[in-house]
Amino acid sequence: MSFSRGARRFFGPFDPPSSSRALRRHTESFQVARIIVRCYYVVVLYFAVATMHDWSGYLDRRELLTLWPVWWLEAVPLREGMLGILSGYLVTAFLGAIFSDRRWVRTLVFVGLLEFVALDNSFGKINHNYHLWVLTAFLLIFLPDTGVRTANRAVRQRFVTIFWSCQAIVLLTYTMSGAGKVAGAIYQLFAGQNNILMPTGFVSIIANRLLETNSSSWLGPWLIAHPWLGWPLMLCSVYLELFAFWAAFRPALHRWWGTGLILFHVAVYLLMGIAFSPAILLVGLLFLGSPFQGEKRVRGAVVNQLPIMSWFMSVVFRSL
Amino acid sequence: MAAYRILRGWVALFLAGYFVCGFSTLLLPRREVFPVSSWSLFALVPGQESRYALRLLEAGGKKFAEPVLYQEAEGFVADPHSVAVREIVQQFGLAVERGRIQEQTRIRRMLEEDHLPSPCRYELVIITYEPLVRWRTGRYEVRPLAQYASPGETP
Repeated sequence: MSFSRGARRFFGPFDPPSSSRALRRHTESFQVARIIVRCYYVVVLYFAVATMHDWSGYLDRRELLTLWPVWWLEAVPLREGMLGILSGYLVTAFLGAIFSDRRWVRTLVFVGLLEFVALDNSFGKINHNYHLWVLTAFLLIFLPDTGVRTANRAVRQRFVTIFWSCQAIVLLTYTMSGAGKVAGAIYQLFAGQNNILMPTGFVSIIANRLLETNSSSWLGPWLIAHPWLGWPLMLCSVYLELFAFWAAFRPALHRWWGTGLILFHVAVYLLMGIAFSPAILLVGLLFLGSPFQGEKRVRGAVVNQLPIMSWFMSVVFRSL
Repeated sequence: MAAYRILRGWVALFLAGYFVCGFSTLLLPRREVFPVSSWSLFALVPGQESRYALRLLEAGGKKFAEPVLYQEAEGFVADPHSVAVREIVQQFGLAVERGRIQEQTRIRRMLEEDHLPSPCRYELVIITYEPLVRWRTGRYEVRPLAQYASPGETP
């Protein structure tokens, strides 16, 4: 009990609103979340239609290293099986864009997306472009089926909780990535190796990435020639990633963290040539228009809620 | 209210489960069970790197004076900068070194049918380098492992 209370206090917002304001905000959040969910399924349709351009490329493949969701492709004629996945993805995405308020349709969209992404990653390399879409599509299955006028308070509550869970899982993956980097840095520091806390750490990662594929990027070669400039960039990105999950519990930070993560992906593209466009789109959808951030009073609290920095600033101001 | 509490509990459980399972995948050979991943991307700074690589000896009837790295075979392969090929070659190298014949055959078929020119003679090598040194000087060491000819022959 005390642990759960402590956890709630730790992750909870700094400024719990009064009950009447909370109810009004709650209704507004529900309406905004509903619109974003509708947009989400339209974007899935866009992805499915955009994929049609690559259908012939998929169908020409003759060998797969199948991931578990598409293991059944080994038991059927490959071309027909792949055609089934591609057309199923298109049809379910189309249904989702129209009937996103029905759970059975959302379930189909999840299955269609899971199968397609598994197929796309069954050619020897797993890339993470659509992982977050698969995870969020799974969570959205559990939205309550409801019309905007018939939704009572309990239904609205369930709706925004599921919506928030989508935001949380997205931010959690960034935190895991940040935690991996911090753990890696600690390990390499104690092993006496080059690490991300050293000026040449980041540029070594960039150089290795570009060498592995003999490719180039807009700013990578320039940064390798000026390694000191890469050091603060790396620290900023680790901060942004590591504390992303913290931001899930602080609505005032949603828009800022969303903007930061999008800039992070743009920087990764400019430096390493890795485009992560579907993730950018999802972060934009979920956080730039976050339904939980709407009031001026909350906006003023951004600096107060930044992890570590708020503590550091309070120490500085107290000492003045 | 009780239903809402249960829902919140499930959400917390899902997030905690993903976190734990995600990091547990680091113990697996592919370090991922789709769509569960540790997301530990670029977590370590590369030091002395040893990577499997392919070098073309002959492609489309043309014999090279010096073996050419797949990544440098512009004009002979469809996408020399492919990240997928880099990844497949790592799996191929592991399968060869650990003597997994079935896996080797499968990956080789994938490479030869989808990524290498036909006919083609190529070798699997290990290249060793320090990234910043290689970036500045182009220097790296090569250790040949095996030679192959497509389609499906081992000379």
